[in-house]
Amino acid sequence: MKKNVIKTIVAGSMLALALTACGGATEETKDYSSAFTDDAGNASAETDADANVDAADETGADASEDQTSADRFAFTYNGTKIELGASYDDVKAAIGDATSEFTQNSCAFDGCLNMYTYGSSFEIDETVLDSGEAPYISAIYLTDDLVSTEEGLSVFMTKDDAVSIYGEPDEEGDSYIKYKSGDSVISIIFDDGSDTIASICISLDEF
Amino acid sequence: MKRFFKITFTILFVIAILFLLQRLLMPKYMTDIHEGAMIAEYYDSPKFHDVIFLGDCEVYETYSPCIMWENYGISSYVRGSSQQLIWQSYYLLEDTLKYETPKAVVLNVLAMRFAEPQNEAYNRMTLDGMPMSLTKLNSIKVSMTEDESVWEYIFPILRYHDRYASLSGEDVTYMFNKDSVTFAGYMPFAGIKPVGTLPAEKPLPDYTFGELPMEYLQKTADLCKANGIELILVKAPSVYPTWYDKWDAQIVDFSAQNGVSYVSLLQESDTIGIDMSVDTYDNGQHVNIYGAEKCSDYIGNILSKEFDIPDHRGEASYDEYWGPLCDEYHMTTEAMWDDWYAQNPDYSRE
Repeated sequence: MKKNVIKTIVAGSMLALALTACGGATEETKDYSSAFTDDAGNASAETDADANVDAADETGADASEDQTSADRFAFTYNGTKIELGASYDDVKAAIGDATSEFTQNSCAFDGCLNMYTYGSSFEIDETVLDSGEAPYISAIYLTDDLVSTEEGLSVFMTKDDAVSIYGEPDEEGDSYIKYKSGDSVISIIFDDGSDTIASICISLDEF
Repeated sequence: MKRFFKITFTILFVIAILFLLQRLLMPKYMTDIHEGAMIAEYYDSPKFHDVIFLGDCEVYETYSPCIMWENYGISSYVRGSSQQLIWQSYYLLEDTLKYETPKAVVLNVLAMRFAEPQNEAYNRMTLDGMPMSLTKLNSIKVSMTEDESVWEYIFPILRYHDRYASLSGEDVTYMFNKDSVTFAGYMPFAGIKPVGTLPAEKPLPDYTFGELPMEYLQKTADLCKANGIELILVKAPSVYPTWYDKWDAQIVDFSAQNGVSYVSLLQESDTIGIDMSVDTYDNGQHVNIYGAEKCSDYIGNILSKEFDIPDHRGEASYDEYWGPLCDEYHMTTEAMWDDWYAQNPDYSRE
């Protein structure tokens, strides 16, 4: 009887340990997306290695590492190409400090979104993960006609201008059109009831 | 017969081991990310609340039940959680009604901007703390993102099994009992970081609230109506993320169509006396304790005067609960401010 009890305990413990160990600390499991969202309510793209929820959720690469930047939309300012996934510090060294900065903290988690505004012309958003991975540029907003996309589109131009530059949109709504390239998206938003461009956002696809 | 007992014993033993492992492996949220422990805390509180607050961080950082108790004798509880989505608020209300029927429900509307499930980390903080029930299952189903599995919510060990590599003393200490991390659901934050220059308001492709949040806002209104509960929609005074005028107009329309109240503390900031140079700890995204106490007094006055929420001060069962809790609240918040001012000598305490 005593032997059987021991067998049972050993079997139960082994089953429990097997279940505990399955997957292992190195297994790639799901990643948690950002703990913050943009104004539109879209979760941003970064992984959130929230140690308390799941320390083993280390997908390793963030959105900036998996893709080559060649296919991504970009923006050039004063001769400096500002690329999605790049380091904002490097960009800042080239184009100078922002006019103003704002940090949107995540609720509960340590990650944040830094928004660097350059006058009334554009804003660069930098995603900071709480996993300790390098922060990266996740979005660029063009907000006046002093700047334009690499392809020459700027605010106050029209939908026809956008179509003539980029072709037929990949996605279209009542007041916006979107184009995709690689893992990046350019979202063009029009003023209410018109075809005049109010805002251009270049971002990583998941943003 | 002997074989039957052996098999039964083995099954029970394995279940017990798995149960203990699950308790060990699930996150405790005691030494970090306290927000994850808030939802479960409600079940330990006495169920005599006349007002239940529901919503995201704009709720659990803005309304202090202790202030409403001290100033108006209102017995309330904040069932808030980080990025609590509208459908999660609905199911938390349904869950609450199994324990008590409040006279009023106050629902924050910021989460109306989320048209679909967002991410698992936040889902977990709202859902894992609820006891298993059909209500919880329904909330899980509508909250899950693409990669999530309902089984991992029903048996959390399936989700957390690989936490074994990062277990700490916290996981053992709080395996069966957890400390309280809030004051009747309110989580105080000390610190001052004034509002500076806000980012430009970004135009949206579409300002119309999504079908899912609208469906559950309607269900919340209907559930309140069916239970004789006053529903009061609120918007906290936070100045970021942007609360668009077109969003606000939809809430105003919904309120009018459904005969529910809408109180925008954002629009009433001046009346409340919110000063975003001292009443926020993160550039106006959330209010600190100072701001929360002003908001609590403001909403408490409305609840008391306009909704006739009773004053229970002087009633023994209420005094016995709220008295010590509020004493602890003041001791804790004072200590938090003492620490903060000691670390920030540039600020002087008035």
